[in-house]
Amino acid sequence: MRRYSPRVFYIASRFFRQRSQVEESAQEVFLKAYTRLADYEGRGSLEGWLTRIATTTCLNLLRSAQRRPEMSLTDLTTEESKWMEDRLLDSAARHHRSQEDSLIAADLADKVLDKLSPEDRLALILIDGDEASVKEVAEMTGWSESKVKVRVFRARRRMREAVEKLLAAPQQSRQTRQRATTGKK
Amino acid sequence: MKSDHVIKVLDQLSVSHLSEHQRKLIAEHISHCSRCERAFQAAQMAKVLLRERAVATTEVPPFFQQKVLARLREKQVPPIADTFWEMWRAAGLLVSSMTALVLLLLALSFSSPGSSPPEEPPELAVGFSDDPAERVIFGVGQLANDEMTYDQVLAVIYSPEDAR
Repeated sequence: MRRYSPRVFYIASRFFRQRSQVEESAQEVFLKAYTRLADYEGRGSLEGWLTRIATTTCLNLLRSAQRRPEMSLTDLTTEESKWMEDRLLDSAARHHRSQEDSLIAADLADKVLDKLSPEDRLALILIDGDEASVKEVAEMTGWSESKVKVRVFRARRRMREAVEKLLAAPQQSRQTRQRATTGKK
Repeated sequence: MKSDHVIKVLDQLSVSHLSEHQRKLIAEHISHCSRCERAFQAAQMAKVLLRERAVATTEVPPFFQQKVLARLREKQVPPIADTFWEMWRAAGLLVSSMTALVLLLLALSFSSPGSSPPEEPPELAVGFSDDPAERVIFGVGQLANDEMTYDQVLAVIYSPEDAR
């Protein structure tokens, strides 16, 4: 268990952001693996078998968790709105990345990803976030490679559309603020 | 590609996987297409968000293994209610079979013709009527205050009507 815990935590972290949720799902994975130990035929690696169990368990947990029906700008915190504004003003490369910045971005990413289905979300995080290959994701999930490609294409589009909507909002608020300050002068 | 919208390319590939040539074409296109410019900005931001999200990995907390083992043990020990139910299920079979046996014996003892309760002996079967005279003659029981004496009984037996 000690040997495979980091791997299970890594997978659970793809699905959940909160530490308690990650730990809870990791525990669930090990309990499931223990009860299904007899099913392990020893053909593949134990890590691969455990990875598959972790992926399906976390997918099921995420499916059962209540998801937000719709995200709006009001869901964003002040820090998140500011982060987006800063990103728009600065280029991604030049932007100074503090630890706080990273946390805000991760939280914001989770909010946007909440709009996607658990399967699309997983495919997108693994391929665009972790730079995993389509083959690797197919092995992890048990899906076909074409299924992974379809999912990531769809997820990428939805994510982009969601971010586009969010980007339009800070721009509007900035314009409103500018108008207000010029009006005062 | 200069006149084609670049949105489709952005959905097919991650921004980080775009070639230099593709980047150049996109840059040319978005200089005069605000719609694609917005899409490109959003795709870049999505990439940054996904990277940050991917970096955020939770470390294995201390005592994690112990917690899992404790949960395993919890799962293996059934709750008291379950244990009681299991016991009842096991004993229930025995109890029900015993009840069935008792019922069968009762049914047999009542329904079989030769097994009716033995009749009382004739002498015991003879009952005494409520007549105090009979009770006095057969010497049964004590006389109550309002009952007849021996003489009275004789008088009744040998009444003048009989003499005639």
